[in-house]
Amino acid sequence: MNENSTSEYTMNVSELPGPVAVRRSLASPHAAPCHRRTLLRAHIVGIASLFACTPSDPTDRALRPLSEDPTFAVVLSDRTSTAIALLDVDGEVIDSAWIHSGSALPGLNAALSGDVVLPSSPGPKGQLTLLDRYRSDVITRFDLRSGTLIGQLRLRTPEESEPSFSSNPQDLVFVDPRAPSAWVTRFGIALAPPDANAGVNTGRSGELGNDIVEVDTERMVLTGRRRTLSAFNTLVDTRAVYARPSALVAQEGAIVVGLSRLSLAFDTAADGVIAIFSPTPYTSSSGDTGSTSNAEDVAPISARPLEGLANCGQVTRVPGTRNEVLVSCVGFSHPFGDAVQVRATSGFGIFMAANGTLTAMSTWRAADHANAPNPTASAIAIAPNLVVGIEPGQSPATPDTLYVIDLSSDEAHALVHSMHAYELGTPAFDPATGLLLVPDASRGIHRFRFNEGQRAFTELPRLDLGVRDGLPPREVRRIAPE
Amino acid sequence: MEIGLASVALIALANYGVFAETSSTTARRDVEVVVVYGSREGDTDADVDLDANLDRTASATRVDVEVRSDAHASLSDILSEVPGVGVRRTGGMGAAANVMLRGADANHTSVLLGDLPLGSADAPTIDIGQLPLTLFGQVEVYRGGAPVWLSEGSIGGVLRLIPRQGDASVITAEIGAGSFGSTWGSVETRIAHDTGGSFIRAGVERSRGDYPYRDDGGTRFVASDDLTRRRANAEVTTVYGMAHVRFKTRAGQWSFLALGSHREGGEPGPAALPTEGAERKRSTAVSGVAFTRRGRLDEDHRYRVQARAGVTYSANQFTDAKGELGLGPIDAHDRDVSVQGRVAATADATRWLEGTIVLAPRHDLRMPFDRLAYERGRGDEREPASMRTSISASLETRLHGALAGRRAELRPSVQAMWSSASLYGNGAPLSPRSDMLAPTVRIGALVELSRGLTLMASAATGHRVPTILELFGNRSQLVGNLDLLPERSRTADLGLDFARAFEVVSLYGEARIFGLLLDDLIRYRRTSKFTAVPENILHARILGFEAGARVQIGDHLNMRANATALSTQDELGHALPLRPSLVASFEPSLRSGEIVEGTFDDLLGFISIEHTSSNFIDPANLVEIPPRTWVGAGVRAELFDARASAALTLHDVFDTRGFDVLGFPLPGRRMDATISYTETF
Repeated sequence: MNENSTSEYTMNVSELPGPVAVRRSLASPHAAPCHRRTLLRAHIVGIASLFACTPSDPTDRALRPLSEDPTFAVVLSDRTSTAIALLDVDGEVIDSAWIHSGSALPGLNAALSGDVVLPSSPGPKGQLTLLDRYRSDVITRFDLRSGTLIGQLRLRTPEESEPSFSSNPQDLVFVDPRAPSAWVTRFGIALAPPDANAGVNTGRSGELGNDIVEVDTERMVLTGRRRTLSAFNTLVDTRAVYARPSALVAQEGAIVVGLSRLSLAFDTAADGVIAIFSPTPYTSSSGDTGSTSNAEDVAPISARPLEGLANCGQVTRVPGTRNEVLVSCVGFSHPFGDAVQVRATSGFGIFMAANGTLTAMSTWRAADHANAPNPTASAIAIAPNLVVGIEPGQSPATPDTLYVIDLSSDEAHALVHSMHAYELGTPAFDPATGLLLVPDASRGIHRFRFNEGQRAFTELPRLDLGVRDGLPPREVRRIAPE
Repeated sequence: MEIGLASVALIALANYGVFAETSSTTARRDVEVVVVYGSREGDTDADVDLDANLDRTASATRVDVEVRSDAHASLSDILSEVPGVGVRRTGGMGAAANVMLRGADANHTSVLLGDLPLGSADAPTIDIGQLPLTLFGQVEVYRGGAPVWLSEGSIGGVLRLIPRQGDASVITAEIGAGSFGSTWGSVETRIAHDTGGSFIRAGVERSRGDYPYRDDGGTRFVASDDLTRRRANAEVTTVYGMAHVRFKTRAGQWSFLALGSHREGGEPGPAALPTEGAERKRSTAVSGVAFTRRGRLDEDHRYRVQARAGVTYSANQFTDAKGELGLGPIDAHDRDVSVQGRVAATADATRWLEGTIVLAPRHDLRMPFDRLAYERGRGDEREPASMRTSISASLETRLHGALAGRRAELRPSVQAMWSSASLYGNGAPLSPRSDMLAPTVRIGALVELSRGLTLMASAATGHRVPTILELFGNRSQLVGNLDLLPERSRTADLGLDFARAFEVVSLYGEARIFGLLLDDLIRYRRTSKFTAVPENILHARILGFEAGARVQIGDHLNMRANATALSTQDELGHALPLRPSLVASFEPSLRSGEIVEGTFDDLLGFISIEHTSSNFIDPANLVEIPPRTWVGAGVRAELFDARASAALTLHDVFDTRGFDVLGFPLPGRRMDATISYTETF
C-alpha cells in the first residue's frame, strides 16, 4: 500500500473471520500501512484498516455491524492500549476485538487509551458505551447493530479546560433507558491554589469535578445539570479528603452512588459513604448549551455513612431483590499494601434504596470475621446475601482468589485462583441465565453457571481470550438490558 | 518568566585530555565526519590521547559540529544524521529529548562529556535537549560495544560529547532569533599557546515554545470539536557556561573542564491536558581534572597512563502546586552528587600486542525532598537519601599487525562492574543493601581490505543495573523489588567503512548489519489499583542495518545521507514501541566559494530531507504513528575573511509537524537566524 498517495485497497474476505469485504479510497496522505498478522490481529487489522486507512475526518467511520446483540462486553488491556470484545448470552465470542485503540489514527490520544471501563449497569439495547478515564475523560457510544458512532463527548466544558483537569469518569448509568439521559461520576478533582496547598476543606467555588453530571446521550453533550458532592469532603489529620464518586446504580428513578472519599494523592481516606438522589426526568428541550460550571445542583441528596469502612466506591444491585444494593468497601492503608489496615477497614454494606432514601439492612466487616476471606475487591452480588468478590494477592507473587461468600453465614468457597497478584478483574453476572464470567489476565475468561436453588456454581470451559496477544481481559460487564 | 539565576558554580578544576588524533577525513567544511580510528604510526610526542578514538573496531561515527550549515542546530539535529541513532523529541527548543541507539531503550545509552559520565546508574536517561550544541567540538556515537576507555557496559552504546578546545586565539560573539519567541546569544573566547589552550564560552537561550498544534479534545472519532491551540506553559530559559583548559608540564599533560547550566521553565505536560503552573528548574555543574603522561620504556615499548577525577552536582526542582501532572500537589527539590574517578594505563607488551587496564570507582548520592509533603507533616517526613558505590575494572588486549599484507586488529576485552546501593535516613541504613556484579565482554576485529576500505566486526555483552527507584520504590505507588536482576544484552555487528579522497571527489561511507538480543528488561506491572512493581519480564530482539555516506565533489557540492532500518520483536512477536522501521535523511549542499574578495567569502545553500516511517506506540501494536517527512532548507554566508557569518534556516517547510511521543506534538514550520562575529588576536 502506498502510504503517501491516494490509492485504493481491498481487504480479501478470506483474510477475515467475519463477513466483511471493504473497498475504501484513501484520501489521506497520512494513511498508515496495513500489515498481515496473526488471526486475532488480522481481524483487528481488518477493523483497524477501516480507520487507519480512511480519510482524516473520522465522522463517517463505520464499525462492523453486528447481526446479534451481544450480552457481554470484555475490556482487554495491557494498560497502554485497549480492545473491546463482545460475547453472546452464553459467553461465546461474537467479536474478539470489535473496537480498539488503533481504530482511529492517533492524535493527542489514541482512539482508546489503556484505561477504559464499561458502565457497571447495562444501557439501551444494542448499544455500547465506553468510559475512557484518567487523562482522557471521554465517553464514547456506539450502535452495535449498524456499527456506527452515536457520539463522543469529553467530560469537560470549555470553562473547565484550564488549568489541567482530568475529570476521570468512573461510571455511567441510565436512569431510564428510554430517555436520552445518563449520569456520569467524575472522580477527578482540580482545585485552584491556595486550596490545593492549604489542605483544608474546600468550598464549592473553584472545585472542578468531584461530582455527577448528566449527559444527553443522543446529542452527546452535557445537559448542564450537575450534582455536586463537595458536601462530603472532609479533613482527616489536616489533610483534605474528597467525596470521589465512583460507581452508580439506578433504582426506581433514583441514583445511588458510592463515595470513595480519598485524598488527592490517595494517601488518606475517610469513612465510606453511600448517597442517593432523584433527578427529575430529562427531556432534550430542557438541556442547555452543555456547560456545567454555572449549573444548579439538581435534587437534594441523602446519604448513609459506613463507619469504620473505607474506599466504598463500588455499588451494585442485588439480583433477586427489588431495591437492595450492595456496597463494597475495599479498605485502605498507608503505606499501600498493609494487609492489616486494609482488612480493618474493608467490608460490605447492604442497603434498601426506595423512595429516594437509603435504609441500612446489614453490614459485614472483614475485621469481625477473622476466619473468613476478604473478597471485597470487584465484588458483585449474585443473590440476596451471596456475593462474589476478589481477595487480592498480598504480594506480586501471590495469587488473587475469587470467592463466593454467603454474608449471613460466612461460608466461603474459592472459585478461581490467578497465577499472580492483580490478575483477576471485574466479573459479570447475568441473573437471567446464571452465567458468571471472571476475567483472568493469565488465562482468559473463567465461566461458571450459578444454580439458584443450590446457591452453588458449576465451572464451564474457560474462554481463551486476549492472553496470547498481550491484551489480557481486565473487566467483563453485561451490556444487554434485562 | 523571570530568570532566577541559581548560583551556578563554574569550578575550573577539570583536567581533560585533548586528543589530536591522526585520522583520515573527508574534508567538508560544514560537517566533518571522521572515520574514527587512531593510528600509532606517526605517533610522536605530539598530543595523542588515551582516547577511545584508538579503537577502530568500534562501530563509531564522529561528527564535527563546530561549523554548521544551519543557523541554530541542536544536538537532536546532529544525532539525526548519524546511522543507528534514534532521537525522541517531546517539543521545541529546550524540550526534553533522548537518544536510542540501535533500537535499544533510551536508558541504555551512556552519555559522556569527554569521558566524564553525565548520567548514573540511577539516572541513566540523559535529556539531550538541555545541552547546547555550541559547547562541543565533536560528537562521537559508539553503537553496540564501546572501547574500554569509555564503556560502562551500556547496552545501546555511548554518546560522547567532546568539548571544544582552545586551538586558536579568537573571540566570538553570536546572537540569533527564531520562531516561537526563541532567542539566543553567547560569547566565546579561545586562547592557544605553546603548551596548550583554553576555551571559555557562556551563553543564554530562551524560547516561548508556544507553537500551534491540533487539539482533538481526545475525541478521535469526532472531528467537529477539534481546534487549534498553542502550546502553553512551555517557555524555557537556559543559561550555561563552560571552561576547558589544557596545558603541558614536564610531567605530562593536564586538562581541566567545568560545565555549568541552569534551566528553568514551564512543564507543559501532554498537550491533551495543558498545564498552567507546573514548572521545573534544573541546575547542573560538572567538573573534571585529568592528568596524562606518555612515554617510552624503551624504543619498542611505549606507555600511556591517565588519572581522572570528576564531580557532578545537580539540583532539580519540580513544582506542581495544582497537581496538574501527577497525583496531587508536589514541590520536589532533589539533589544529586556524583564523585567519580578513573585510572587507565596502556602499554606495549610487544610490537604487536598492547594491553590496557582501566579502573573506575564512583559514588553517587541522591537526596530527594518534597517540600509540600514535609510541611503537611507525615511523621515520616523527608524521603530517604540513596547511595550507590560502584567500581568497574576493565582489561583489554589489542593485537595488531598485518594479515596477508593487510592491516588487521583484534581487541578482546572484559569488564566487571560491582555496584552496591541502599537507602539512608538520619545517618542509618533504611534498607538492605543491593549488591550486584555485572560482567561484560567484548571482542572487536578489523581487516583493511584495500586502501580506505575496512571490514570490521564486533560482539559484546552489555548490562543496565536496576535503579534505586526500581530496587526500593518510592514508598508510594511504585513498589521496590530487591530481586531484580540487571538488564542484559548480547550484540554483534559486521560492517564496512570506506574513506577515500580522489582528485575531485572525496567519499566516506559506512554500512553495518547488527543484531541485539535483550533479556530481563525491567518493566512495571500493576499489582493493585494504586501500586506497580518492576520485574524482569521483557525479552526482545532487534535486527538492523545502518548506513551513512558523505560525498564531496569539487569545491562546491557536498551531499550527506544516512539510513537506519530496524526489525524489532518482543516475545509475542510484536514490534517494540517507538522504533520506526526506517529513519533516513539526505542533505545536499552547494557553496559558491569566494564571491567578492575580502568581503563575501562564501555562500552556502542546503536542503535537508528527513523521513521517519510509521511506528507503533504501544506494545500490543494497535496504535500506529503515521510516517512523516520533514523538509528543511537554509543558507549561510561567510563574510569579511570569515570573520563574520550569517545563517538562516527553515525547518519543516511543509509544516508536517508530527510527534515522537503520543500526546507531545512537535513544532512545525519554523525559522532560525544567527549572526556571529569572530576576531583573532
